[in-house]
Amino acid sequence: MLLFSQCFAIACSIVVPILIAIYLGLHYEGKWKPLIFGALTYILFQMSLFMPLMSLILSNDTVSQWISAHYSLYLVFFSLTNTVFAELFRYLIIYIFLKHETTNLDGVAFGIGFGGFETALTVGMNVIISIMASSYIAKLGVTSALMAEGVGQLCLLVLQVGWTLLIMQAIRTKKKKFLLICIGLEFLITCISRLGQNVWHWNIWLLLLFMISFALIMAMYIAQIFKTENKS
Amino acid sequence: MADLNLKHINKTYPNGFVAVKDFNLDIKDGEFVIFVGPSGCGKSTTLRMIAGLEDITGGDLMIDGNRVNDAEPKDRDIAMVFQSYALYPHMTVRENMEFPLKIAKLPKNEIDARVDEAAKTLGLESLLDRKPKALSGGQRQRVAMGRAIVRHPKVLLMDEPLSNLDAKLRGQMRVEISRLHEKLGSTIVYVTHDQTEAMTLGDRIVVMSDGEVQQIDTPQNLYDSPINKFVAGFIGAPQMNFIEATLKEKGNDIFVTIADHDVKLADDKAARLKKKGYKDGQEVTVGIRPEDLGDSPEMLAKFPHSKVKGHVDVYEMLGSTSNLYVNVNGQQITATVEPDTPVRVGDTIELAFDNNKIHIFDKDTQENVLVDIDPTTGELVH
Repeated sequence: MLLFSQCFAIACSIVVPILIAIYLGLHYEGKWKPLIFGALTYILFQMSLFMPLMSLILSNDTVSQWISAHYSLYLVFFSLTNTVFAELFRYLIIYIFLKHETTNLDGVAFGIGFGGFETALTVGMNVIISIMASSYIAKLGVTSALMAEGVGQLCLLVLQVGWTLLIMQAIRTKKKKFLLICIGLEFLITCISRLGQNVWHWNIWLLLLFMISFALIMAMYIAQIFKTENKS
Repeated sequence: MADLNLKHINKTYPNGFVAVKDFNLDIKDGEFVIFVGPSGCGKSTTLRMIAGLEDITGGDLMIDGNRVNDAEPKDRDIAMVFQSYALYPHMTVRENMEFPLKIAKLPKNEIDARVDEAAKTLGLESLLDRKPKALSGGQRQRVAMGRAIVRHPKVLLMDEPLSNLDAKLRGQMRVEISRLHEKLGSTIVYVTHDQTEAMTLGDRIVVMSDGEVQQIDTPQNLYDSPINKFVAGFIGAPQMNFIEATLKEKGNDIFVTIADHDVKLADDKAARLKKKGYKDGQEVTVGIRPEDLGDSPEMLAKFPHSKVKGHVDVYEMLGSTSNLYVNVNGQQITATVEPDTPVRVGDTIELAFDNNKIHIFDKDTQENVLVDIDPTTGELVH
C-alpha cells in the first residue's frame, strides 16, 4: 500500500504534468515557449527570489519573535505576500515575454509549466529521494497523507492553470480587475488552507475536500472560457 | 541546562489587569516543572515572561543566578515549543530545524550533526525532506520539539504542545516527551490545562488560578494533600466530591454530619481539627475523592462508622472501574468502585468513606484545615 501511494504521489506530481506538457508541446505547435516560461517563472520567483527573501526576513530576531507570538497573523501575511508577489511576477513575465501568446492554450501551457515544476519539486522529488534512500518508513498516516498529497497536487495544477488564465485575461483585455480577482481568490485559498493546516488543525481529508472544491470551481471556469473562445 | 528562579514576578497590563501576582518559584537544573490551571489563570503569561516574549512588570527572573528581566529572548538561551508549533510552511523539516542554528551562525558540519542527532532522537530521519504541510499533527509537533532541542538551550519551554492532538496521540506524545526529558536531562517548564498531563509528566507541578500560585508540589503531594478546595478540585479525575457538613463531637471522636449521616473522622484528623480550634456544630466542606469511597463488603466492614446511604442516579462502566453517581439526601456524591459491582441505577446503596482520606475545607477561607504549610518555605508539613 505504501509503494502504491508513493507511486500515486509521483504520478500526480511528476508524470501527469510531464505528460500534459509533452502533449501540449507536440500537439500544439509553439506551446513549448509558455511551458518553459511557466517553469522559469516558478524557479525565478519562488525559488530564487521569494523563498530566500522570506528566509532573510525570518533571520531577523525581532521578526522571528513576532512570528512565534503571532503565528496566525504570520500565516496570513505569508500567504498575502506570496500571492501578491507571485501574481505580479507572473503578470510581468507574461506581459514582457509572452504579450502575443495569451490564448487560453498558452495559459494552460504556462500554468502547467509553473504548477508542474512546483509539484515536481515540492512533492515528487521528495518521494523519489525517499524511495531511493529507502528511508520512507511506513508510519501511521503516511500512506493516506501521500495519497491525499497526490490528489492535492492535481488540484494545485488546475488552480495554477486558472490563475494564469486570469492573468492572461487581464493582459488581453487590459482590465486590472482580473489581476485583482486572481490575487484575491488565490490569497483566500492559500490563507484558509494554511490556517486550516497549521492553526485550526484540519485533518488531511478536510483539507483535500477544500482543495478539490476550489479546483472544481476553477475547472468549471477554465471550461467556460474555452467554450466562450470556441464560440467567438 | 540551568537553574531558573522566579522571585516575586508580577505582570500588570497597561489597562490595569493583573495577569500574574507575586509568582515565586525555584526550578532546579534538569527539573521538569508543569504550570497547570484553567484558561486565563496566567500560566502562559508566566511562560512567555520567562521566554522574554512578555515584559515583566515586577520581580526578578534569574537564569543561573543572572538577572535576565531585560535580556533579549535570543540572549536568554531558552527555546520554546508553541501550541501552534510555529513551523515555517515554506521550509522543509530539515530547514525548519536548521534555521535557529543558521541564525546563530554555527558551522555547517555542526548544524548537520545537531539536526541529525535531534532527528534521530525524535524519529524524524525519514521526514527531513518533507514540508510541514505533508506531516501529521504528531509529526509537526515533533519537528517543533526538534527545532527547539537542536539549540541545546539552557531551558526548554513548552506551551500546551499537545493540546492540538487527539487523545490517542496525546498519550503517545506524553510518553515521548517523558523519554526526551530522561535522555536530554534538560530543565523543562511545561504549560498545560490538562491535569493528566501535569500529573504524569512533572517532577513538580505549579497549580495556578486567577494569576496566583495556589500550590507547588510533587504530583503525589498535590493529590494527597491539596492545600485548598481549588487544588483539590483541579487535581484528580473524576473530581473530588465536596459535601457541605457539620462537625459533631462525640466523646473523643469527631464526626462530620453529611445529609443526616454521621461519618467518623480518623483520630489524627480529629486531633488536628481540635488543635486548630474547630468546634462542635461548626460548618465545613468535606472533600473525598471518588476512589476513596466504596460499596464493597470489605470497605463497608472496614469503615463501619463512616457510611452514608443513597440512591444511584447514574452508573458508568469504564472497564477497569465503574462510576456511581449517588444522591444522598440531596447531596450528589460520585464514587469510583470495582467494575463488577452489582449496583445499578435506582438501587439504594451504602457507601463507606475511607476516613483516612477525608479532607476538611474551611467554609470561609476554602483552605484544607488538615494540611499545614511552613510559612517560611511555603512547603507542606507532614
